[in-house]
Amino acid sequence: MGWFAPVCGSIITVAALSSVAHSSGSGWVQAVGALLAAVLATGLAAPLFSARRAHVTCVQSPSDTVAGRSVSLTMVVSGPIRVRPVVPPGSDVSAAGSARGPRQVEVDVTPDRRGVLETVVVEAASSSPFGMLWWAKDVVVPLPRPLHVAPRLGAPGDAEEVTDDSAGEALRRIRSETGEARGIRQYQPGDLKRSVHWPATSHTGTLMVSETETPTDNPVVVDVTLPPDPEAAEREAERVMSVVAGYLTRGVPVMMSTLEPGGRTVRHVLDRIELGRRLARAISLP
Amino acid sequence: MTLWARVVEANRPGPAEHSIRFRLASTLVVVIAIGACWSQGELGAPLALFTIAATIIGNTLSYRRREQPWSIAKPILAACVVGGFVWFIITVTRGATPGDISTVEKPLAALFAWVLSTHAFDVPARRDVAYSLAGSAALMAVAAAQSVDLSLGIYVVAWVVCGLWGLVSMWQSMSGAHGVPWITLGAAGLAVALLTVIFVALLPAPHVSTSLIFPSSSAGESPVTSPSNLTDGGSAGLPAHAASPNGRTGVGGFLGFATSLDTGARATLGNQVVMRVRATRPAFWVGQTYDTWDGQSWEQSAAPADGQGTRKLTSGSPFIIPLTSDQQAGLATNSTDIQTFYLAQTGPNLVFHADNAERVYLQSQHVFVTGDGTIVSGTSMGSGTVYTVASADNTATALQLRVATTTVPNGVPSPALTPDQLRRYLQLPHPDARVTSLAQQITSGISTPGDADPHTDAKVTAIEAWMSSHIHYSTDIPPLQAHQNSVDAFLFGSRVGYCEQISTATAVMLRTLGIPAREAVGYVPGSYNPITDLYEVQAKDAHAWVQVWFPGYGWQSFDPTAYVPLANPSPGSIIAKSTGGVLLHLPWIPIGVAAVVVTGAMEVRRRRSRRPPTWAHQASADLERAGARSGITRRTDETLTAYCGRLADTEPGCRDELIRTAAVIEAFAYGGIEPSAEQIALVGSFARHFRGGRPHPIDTQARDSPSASSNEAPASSRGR
Repeated sequence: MGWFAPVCGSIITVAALSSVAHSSGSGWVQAVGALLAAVLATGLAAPLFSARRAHVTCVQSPSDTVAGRSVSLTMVVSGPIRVRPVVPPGSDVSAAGSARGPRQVEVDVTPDRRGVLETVVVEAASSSPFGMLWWAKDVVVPLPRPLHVAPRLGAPGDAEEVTDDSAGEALRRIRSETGEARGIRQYQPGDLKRSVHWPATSHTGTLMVSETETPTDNPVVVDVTLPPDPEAAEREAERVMSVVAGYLTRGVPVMMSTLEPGGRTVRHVLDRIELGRRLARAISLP
Repeated sequence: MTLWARVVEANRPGPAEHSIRFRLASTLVVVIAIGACWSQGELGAPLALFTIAATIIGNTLSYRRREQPWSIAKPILAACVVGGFVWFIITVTRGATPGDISTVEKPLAALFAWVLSTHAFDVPARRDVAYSLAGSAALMAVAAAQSVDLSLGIYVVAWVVCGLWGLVSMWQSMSGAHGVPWITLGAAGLAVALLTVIFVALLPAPHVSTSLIFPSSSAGESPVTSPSNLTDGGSAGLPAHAASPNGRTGVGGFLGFATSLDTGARATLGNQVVMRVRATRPAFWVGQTYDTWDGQSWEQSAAPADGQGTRKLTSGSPFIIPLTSDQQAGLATNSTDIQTFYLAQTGPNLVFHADNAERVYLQSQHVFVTGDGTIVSGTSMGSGTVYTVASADNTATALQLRVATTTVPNGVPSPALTPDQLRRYLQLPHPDARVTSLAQQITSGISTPGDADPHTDAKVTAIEAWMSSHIHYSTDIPPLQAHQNSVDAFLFGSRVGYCEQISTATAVMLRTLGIPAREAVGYVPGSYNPITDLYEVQAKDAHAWVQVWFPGYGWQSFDPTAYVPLANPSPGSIIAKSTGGVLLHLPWIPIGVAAVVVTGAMEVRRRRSRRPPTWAHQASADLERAGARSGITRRTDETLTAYCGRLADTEPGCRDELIRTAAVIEAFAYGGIEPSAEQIALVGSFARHFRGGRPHPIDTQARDSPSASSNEAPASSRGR
C-alpha cells in the first residue's frame, strides 16, 4: 500500500474536522479531530519505527538447491514484521505471532537462476499496530553457508565431441586422476601441474610428479565454456547439467572443466550434487 | 488503466474477514457513536434504538454470510442509502435555515446513522469492516459539534478504546498474529493519548464564526411581563433572589441578581457550573448595574437613567439593542465580541453580556432593555437555555483613558452626561468627610505640574493601588447590622472584604471625587475548558466591579478586587488548603484497592522469590533451620554431609537418616543423580519433621533401593 493515499486522506480528514471546529467554535470537534489525528499519526508512523528496528538473521539454510525449486530458510526476526524474500524471490511470511521477542520463521525462497548465494535480500515490512500502512525496508541477510543453486535440468542432448592433438599444458584432453598411486617419476611434458610431487622435487632437485596406475575407468571429459550472455550461459549450464547428469545416471565417470572465480577447475564429478555445485560456481568467459 | 477499470478494481470484493474481534470492535464503535449522538439530542430514541439494533443484526448476518454474501443485498442496500440521501436533502431544503449549521446537524446525524446501520448488512471483507470503523468518526464529530460539557467524554473514551482495539485486531487479522496484544494495545493507546494532548495543546482554539446564525433555544416556560421580575416568583429556593442579612443563600446564585444588592449580607457561593460560555475573548459579562447607594445597599433607580425608560423590544430574535445615551459604543475599538451562553442551571432572567450589547439571539417574544443597559429576558431562563449576544467592544486602552477626564470642575457638568444622569452617578446618601478625605488623600499626590486636575484614569488607578496595599481579600467576614454604613466600616474598620465591599468602596470614593461611577454585577469567565472550548462559569465566579464613565468611551469597567491580596496568605495555609483539597478529591477507594492488590502481588512475588527452587534446596534449608534452632549453624565452607554429621552428634537417633538424606541431596545437587519421586518425598518429609523436632525415619525400602537414582522422577518433583 502506498503512503500517499492514506497520508493525504488523513490530512484531509483532520483539516475538515478542524475547519468545522473553527467555523462552529466547537471545541469537542477539535478534540475529536486531534484524537483522529493522533490515531492516524500513530498508525502511519509507528510501522516506520517498527520496520526500521526489525532485525532479520538466517540461522539455518541448505547448501544445495536447483533453480526454480523452492528452498526453505530458517530465519529469526525481531519485531512484528512481514518478511518477503526479494532476491531471490519468495512468498510472504508473517512474523507476528503471539510470542514476544525474536521469532523463528521459515522463509521459502525460489532462486530462478543458478549461482552461489551467500546472502539473500528480504523485505522487512510492518504495519503494526493498526494495519493502516505498510512500511518496508530491504535487509541483506547473510546465509550461514553458501547456497549452491544448480541450473535446471535442461533438455537432454549430446555434447559436442572435440579432438585435441596438442601436447603439454596446451593439451585439452584431461588426464585421468582416478588410478591408484604407483610412484614418483620425473616430469614429462603434458603432466598436470597439480601432479607435481613437491617433497620429491625438493629432495631430488628435479621436477618430479606422482604417477598413478593405469586408470580403471575411462572418464568422459567435459569442458564447460559458458557464453558471456547471462541467459545464454544459463541455458548452456542447463544443457551441461542435463548431459552430465545423463552420464552419471549411466555410471559413466565424468571429468569436468569449468571456469570458476578462482580460475579454471578440472575435477572429477562424482554425483549430481557435485555437478550442481560446479555449475553453480561456473562463470562465463570474460 | 481506464477510470472504469480503476473503479471496478477498487470495488472488487476482498477476501472474507474472519476476525470476530475486529467485527465486534467495529460494531461497538458504531453503536457508541450512535449513542453519543443520542445523548446529545441529535438522534431521537426510536431512530437511535433502531439503528443500533440494525447495526448489530447487520454485522451478525454479514459475519455469517461472509464467504457467500447475498448478491441481492447490495442493490437493496444501495437503494436504502440513496433513499436516506433523498430524505436528507428534502429535510434540509425544507427545514434548515441558511447559515445556521445547527439546523443541519440533526438530519446529518440521522443520515450518518442510517448509512452506517445499512452498511452493516454488507461487510464481508476486511475493507468493509474498516469502512464501518472509519465511518463512526463522522458520527462522533456530529455528536461533538453539539456537546457543551464533558459528558461526551465517556463516549469518546469508549469509542477510542474500542476503535484502537478494532485497529489492532485488523492488524492482527492481516498479519496472522493471535492472542490479545495487551502490550501493543497499551503502547498504541499511550502514543495516541500523548499525541492527542500535544495536538490539543498546539492547535489554536476554535473561534466563533461571525458568518453563521448563532444558536439560541429556550428552556423557559414562564413569560416575564416586567423587567423587574428577575426571578420566578422570588422564591428563595431559586439561585437568584433578593438578599437579606439573615436570609438563606441559595447555592448556585448570586445575591446581586435582584433589584438590590445588600453589601451587608454574606453569601457562600458554590462550585456548581451555572453556565458555559463560548466567547471570542474573556470579558466581564455584566448582568445589571446599580446607581443608587444608600450606605449599605445598591439599588436601581426607579426613574429611567436615560430619560427614555425601559423599552420592550418585540422584534423577535435577533433583538437589536439600542444604545442608551450614556453609552459610547464602538468608539474605543472596532471589534465584535460574540458570546454564546449555555445555561446549566436556572438563573435570573438577565441576559448576561459583554459591553456593549448590540444584538441578542434569544428564543423569546420580547426582551426588556432598562435605562442603564440591563437586558431582561422576556421568558424565564431555565436550565438548558441558550442565547447569543453580539457586543461591540468598547474597552478603551490605558492611553485612551489617560487623555479623558470626567471630573466636574466648579460644579459644571460634563457635556456628555445629562444633569440628571450626572446627579444619579454622583449620588451619595450623605456627605462622609472621612471617605472624602481619604479619597482626596489617595489622589492628592498624582497631580502633574501644571495640571491641577489629575486625570480620571490616574485617580482610579491610584485608588486601585491603595486598595491593593491596604485591603485584604476574604469572603469570611461577619455580616453587618442593618443600616450600618458598609463603606465606612470597611475602609476604617477591618479593611477585609470581597468584591462587593471593595468595588463599592471604590465607587463611593470616586463619587466623592466627582467621578461618575456605578456598581456592576455579573460573571467573570471562570475556567476555560480547552476540550469544549467553553468558559465554565461557576457560582463562585459571580462578581462585582466598578464602572466609570469616560467621555467618548462610555462606561469602562475596573476591577479593584483583582489587585487586592488575600487575607493572611501564609504559604503554609495555602499549601495545606491546596493539599487538603487535592487529598479530599482523590478517589480513595480505587487507590486503596489498587494498593492492596499491588501489595499482595509484591508479597506473593517476594515469597516466591524466597521459596527454594528445588526440593533439595528446601530439604537442605529445613535441616539448616533445625540445626540453627539447636545452636548448630552451617558454616559457609561446610558440606551438607559434614554438617549433617555434626547434627547427628546432637541427634544420635537420626544419624543414619541425616547422613543418607545429605547423601541423596548432594548426589542430586553435584552428581546430577535424580532420586525417585518416593525418595524425594521421604527426604522432604524427614527434613520437615526434623525441622519440627519430630524425627521421621526414612522408609527402609526406599532407603535400600539403589534404583533411587532413576531419572524418571515426575517433572513436578524436580523443583518448583
